[in-house]
Amino acid sequence: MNPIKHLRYHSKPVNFWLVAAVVAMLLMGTPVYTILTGLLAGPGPYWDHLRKFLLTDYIVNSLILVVGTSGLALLWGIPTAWFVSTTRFPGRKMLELLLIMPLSIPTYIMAFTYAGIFDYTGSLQNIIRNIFGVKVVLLDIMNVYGVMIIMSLALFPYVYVIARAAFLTKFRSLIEASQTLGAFSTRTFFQVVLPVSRPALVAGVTLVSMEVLNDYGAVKYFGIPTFTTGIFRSWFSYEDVQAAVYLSSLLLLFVFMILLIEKKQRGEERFYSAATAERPLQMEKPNKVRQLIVLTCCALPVIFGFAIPVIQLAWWSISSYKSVAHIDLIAAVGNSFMLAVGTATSCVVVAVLLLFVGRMKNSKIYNWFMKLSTMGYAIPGAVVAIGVLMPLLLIDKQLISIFQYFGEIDPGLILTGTTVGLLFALTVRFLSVAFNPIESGFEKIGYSLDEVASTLRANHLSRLTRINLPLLKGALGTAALLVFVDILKELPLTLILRPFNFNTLATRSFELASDEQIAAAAVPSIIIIITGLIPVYLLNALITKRSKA
Amino acid sequence: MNSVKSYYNIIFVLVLSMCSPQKSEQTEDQTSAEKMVNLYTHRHYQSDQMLFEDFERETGIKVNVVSASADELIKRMEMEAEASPADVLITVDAGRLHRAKEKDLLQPIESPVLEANIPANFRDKEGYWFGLTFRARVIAYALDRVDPTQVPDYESLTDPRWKGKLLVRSSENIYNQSLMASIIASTGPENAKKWAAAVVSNMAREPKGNDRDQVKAVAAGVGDLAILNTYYIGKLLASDNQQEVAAGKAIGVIFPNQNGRGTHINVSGAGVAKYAPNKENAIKFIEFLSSEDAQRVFAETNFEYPVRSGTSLAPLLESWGSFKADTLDLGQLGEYNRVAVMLFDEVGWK
Repeated sequence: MNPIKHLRYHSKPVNFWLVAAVVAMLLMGTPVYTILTGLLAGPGPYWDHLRKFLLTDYIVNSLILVVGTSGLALLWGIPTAWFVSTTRFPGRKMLELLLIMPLSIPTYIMAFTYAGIFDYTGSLQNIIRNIFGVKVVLLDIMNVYGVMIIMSLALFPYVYVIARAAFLTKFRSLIEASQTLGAFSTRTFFQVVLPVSRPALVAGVTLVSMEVLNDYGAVKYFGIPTFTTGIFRSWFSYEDVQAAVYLSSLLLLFVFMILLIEKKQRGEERFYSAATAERPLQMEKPNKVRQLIVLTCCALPVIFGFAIPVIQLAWWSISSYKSVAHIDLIAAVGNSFMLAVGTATSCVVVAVLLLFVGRMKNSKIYNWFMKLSTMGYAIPGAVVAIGVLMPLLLIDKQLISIFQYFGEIDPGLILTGTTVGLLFALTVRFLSVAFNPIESGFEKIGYSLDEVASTLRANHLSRLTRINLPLLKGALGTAALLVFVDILKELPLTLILRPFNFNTLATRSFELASDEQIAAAAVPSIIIIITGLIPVYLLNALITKRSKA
Repeated sequence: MNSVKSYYNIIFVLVLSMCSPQKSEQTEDQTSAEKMVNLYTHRHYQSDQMLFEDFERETGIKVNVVSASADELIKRMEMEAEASPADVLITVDAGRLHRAKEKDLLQPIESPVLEANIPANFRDKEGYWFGLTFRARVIAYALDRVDPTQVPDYESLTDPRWKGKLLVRSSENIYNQSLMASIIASTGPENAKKWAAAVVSNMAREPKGNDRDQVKAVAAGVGDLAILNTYYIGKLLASDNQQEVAAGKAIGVIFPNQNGRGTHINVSGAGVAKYAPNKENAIKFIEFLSSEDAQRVFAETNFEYPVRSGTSLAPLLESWGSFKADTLDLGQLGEYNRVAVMLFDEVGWK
């Protein structure tokens, strides 16, 4: 008997859960839906100009960046996740944690930092000049390949974190079966682990690609015209909002198609293990030479993705901390923290709601709408900001007129003038970050438990809280912490939607960096990284604890 | 079931904590409604922060700030419309002020103080916006490789002798767009397009980086000439990094078109929002920024040219001497912005 059909039999077609989920979906999807209507409205008066002179560049650069960065992120993320999960080598425990660290560095700060290291007055050329007395050794990293490498170093932990969680908890029995059958570690990896961990890898790569597509800071500084550049050019320079929306909708369509192709190709295959008992994975202990190779493989992404940029930023901070002494960074730490905790919570709650209802309904249409609602992450933050501002202002203005009807008071902008609006917008944008790990978490829970609960007439709430949530604990933690780190780094939405006198660490560091004071920007950047270490540490503890449980 | 309850409790407490500080802030704002001015600004310099504090001390009026890009702030004002809390909009480009005026987001101000402090060519004729500082877009040259008399104007940058020698940032940048707009205004779109095309063919590399990076590239020998704003040279020379200071010292500065229309300048300025809830404070605030003391702070800490004549300059600016500035109506920079960007696209200035 098909367990899915059986499940559906017990859930009523319309209920509180479905209504709540649909409302949440509509709210979260507002910018996406608004933008998709742009497809119907057509491309706007400046489209011909755009297509003739710019579009090819945008498409080519964006494609190179997405494919290249995702590929490199897989290259840094998968083998390292595999090695630290299955192989004993010196420094493994430390690297396990360090490999998540690059996530705490904002991409554009990483780009600025590397540009600063390699430029003429930067550390590298300085050292060369001082030691060898040679003046010109120019390695220009400010091109599309430079951005690609820098972004992959900043973003590969998405792949690493999700892959490692999968390796540690999901396929233990499969891996062990393969090993008992005499398959070598490499063969186990390629023939068993990779195909089976595909949903997890897709989740990781999806996040990386969307981050690449929505980036504006790094590509702007490096002079690489991408889709995002085009969106801003149409919007601000041509003042052709329609063209900007049209470009954004093409971007969404592109992401949607990739997801569709992946899903079709994967077919109806699902992997979940019936046994949920978890035992520690048998670790391999290879010979010294192999240990060294493994150690090097795992250390390289950490050195380039974390150690080098942090050392450079620390160096700059030492020389510039006096010039930022007048800036109130303590309030900024508090604000960043508050936004991060608030958004992480709301993203996880909404993602669980959507996915749980999706699981009960198991309807294709619902699932696709759900996916669509979370795709706002691929759109540049500034565009999402405007997409969110529209409905919020509508509510605000209604509230003002209601207040004025009852008394002569002007309450001001209750939603958009406070952090409430900002928090909502951040949830809309970062839902995807929470959604992907939780989705792959749900996918690995077999339906048998749900089915048993359902035959026992357990209601939805107790099914969620007593079966799904406990099993999802790890995925929920991963999701919340990923969002947390992301919010610490978030810039465009906060910049536009923040209330008066509200600063976060990211806005502080951006203000200094955009004033071309990269050295001064290092101080808040270092604080972002240090603050980010807390969730990164917890994230690691969470993943390893689960594997030992 | 207990764990569920505590879970909801946590969320509830979080939501409460989100709202509460905000509320208290708002009531505070309401009681002191007379005593504040709300600022949307593109500027985020240290000098500004100092000035806001001075203003608060002097008048007791609190300065509330949101800083983001002018384009985004204009969009936000447009959407907020009559509900907008903004009193003053500050941008770093006259073109954007002009755009805000066109979109009906500003209101005309009559202020004898501003009219006395700010020369007419630095403010809107109808009083919609007022320039506070100006900056010149100049040509920096390698002291050891270039004879500055060979580069008397922007037009001479198109000379084939500079093939592979020219450094400039991307056309995404507003300062380049306004320079182009000024060339369109004075020579017409056809000539401007030819100029841009020739500049592109002389470029030493694809446009990238910021203004400072162009100077560094000259010092590194990537090219010989760079287009940039004056205050970045000041900032390089005042840097903590000795290598940056050395790079700043390796270049000379040319103020182009001294025998013609003058060097392209642009203002950073302010306008009072159409729906300003604190209009009086807004005017006081802009007047304060045009005062002698405030103008000196702009000049000294940020290496900008003060609009108010007679204000002492930073020693570096002093050392460059006076120069002839383009007298073009600055609103034209906004008028021609779109055409400028489209011409950049057509000639492939990335």
